[in-house]
Amino acid sequence: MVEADEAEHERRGRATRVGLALATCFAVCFITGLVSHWIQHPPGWFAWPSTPVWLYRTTQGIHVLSGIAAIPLLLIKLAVVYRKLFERPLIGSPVRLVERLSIAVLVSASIFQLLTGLLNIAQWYPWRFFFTSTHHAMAYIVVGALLVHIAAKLPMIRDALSEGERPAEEADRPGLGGIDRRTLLMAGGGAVVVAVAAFAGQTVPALRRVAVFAPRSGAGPQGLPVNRTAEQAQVTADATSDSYRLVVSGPDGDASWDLAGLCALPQHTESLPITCVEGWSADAVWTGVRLRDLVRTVGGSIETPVRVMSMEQGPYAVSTVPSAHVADPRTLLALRLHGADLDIDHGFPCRLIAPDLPGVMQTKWVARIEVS
Amino acid sequence: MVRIIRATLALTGCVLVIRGLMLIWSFSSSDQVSIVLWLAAGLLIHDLVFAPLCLLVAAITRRALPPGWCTPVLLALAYTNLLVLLALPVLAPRPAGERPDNATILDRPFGWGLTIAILLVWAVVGVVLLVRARTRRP
Repeated sequence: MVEADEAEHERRGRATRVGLALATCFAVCFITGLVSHWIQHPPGWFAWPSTPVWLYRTTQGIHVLSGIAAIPLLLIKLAVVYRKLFERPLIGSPVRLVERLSIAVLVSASIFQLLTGLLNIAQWYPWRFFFTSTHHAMAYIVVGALLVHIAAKLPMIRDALSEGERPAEEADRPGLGGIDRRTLLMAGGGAVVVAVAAFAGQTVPALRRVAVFAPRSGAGPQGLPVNRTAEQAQVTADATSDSYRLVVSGPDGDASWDLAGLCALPQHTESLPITCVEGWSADAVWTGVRLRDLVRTVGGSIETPVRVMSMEQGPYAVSTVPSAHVADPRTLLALRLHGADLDIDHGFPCRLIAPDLPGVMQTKWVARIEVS
Repeated sequence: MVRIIRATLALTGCVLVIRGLMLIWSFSSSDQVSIVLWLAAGLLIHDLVFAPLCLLVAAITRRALPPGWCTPVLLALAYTNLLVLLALPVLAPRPAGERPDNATILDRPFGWGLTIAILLVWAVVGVVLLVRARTRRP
């Protein structure tokens, strides 16, 4: 019996420590995910800055990488507590039944969230539900169930953290796998490093070569990956048509330019990263017309949001640029990338590029801009 | 004090879960069915397939190997397992039409990457075992 108590005590010590690391990843992932959601669907109280230009690149990189770091931690955590699944009595009392069900919710929601996130960054959607809204809703369930779990286990967590490691001999104890605690925690840390390193190169250029599982190598037309090609968006004919006109509508009426007319407006060059919600980002040098200059030509105020519309149809056809980004002189309607005309897959004839907005809001193949 | 903290955590947790459920409540029923199926599948596949298989492999390994070899080999197996799991989304064959028609995604040699990563893991284990064998000799 002493033997069994010893093993149970050791299991609690391990479960607590791995659980804390996992909870930290989930917390970071949740907050950075919410930030990204709020940028795209801003509640009234939310204002996202347009400076420093690497801010969204950082928060979204951390979002995807903290999710990836959680994968080995979740697997280790489940391995440590797996025996508890078969503890007798299986149900016992109503309280225990509720506790078991809450753990089932926590585990299944966590697996769901990490699995769907990992498949999404590889653009694989083998399910019926809409990924983004589901991922957003499930995040509340995961974090909520986690808080309930921490509330239930708090006394145990406190005990486990206040006592040191009891020297357990490397016996073949049930549930301990013959691996001592220090080795387990070191190996867990190593697993996190390996998992993160296998993907981080999508957003950390220095690690590009070791990112063996990164869905994007970073290559693409004009040295930049593409999230949605012109072919996929079905805009090739419209984008290359000679009759192309950009229409800007505002308080003073409409103004329109053809491509030559846009090129004749004052041009500005800015180095701005482009960041995809899927966790890749890249630096690029863009040349084009300042959005705020266009807003002013139709008598608009740069203190108000602006709607930028694409030739493409669908959920990402329109993006509302927040007022902070409209006013920012670095926000461009870009005509050129790295000194050459925009590739059609990057939004030829022109695209929006603003600091600190997710790629889904950086409208490509812009046809119309509406200023209030 | 601890009771207040626990109650606050539990209450906040319940509010968040309810918020998530309310969001899912507004989805179409076919989406909801798909979500429930994937939730159940993830849990069942882990608890009834993945975890027992890992335990079985670990048990066989422990029986078959001398004590000093056990831990390094088990860790190498675990790392191999993790690498394969992480590689599945980019490496697994997909049904027709599930691959994005975009040359800038899935454009790395993932098979080679996985192979090299696994070889590296086992090379590290080999070195550890060799060093141990050396230091044990008088």
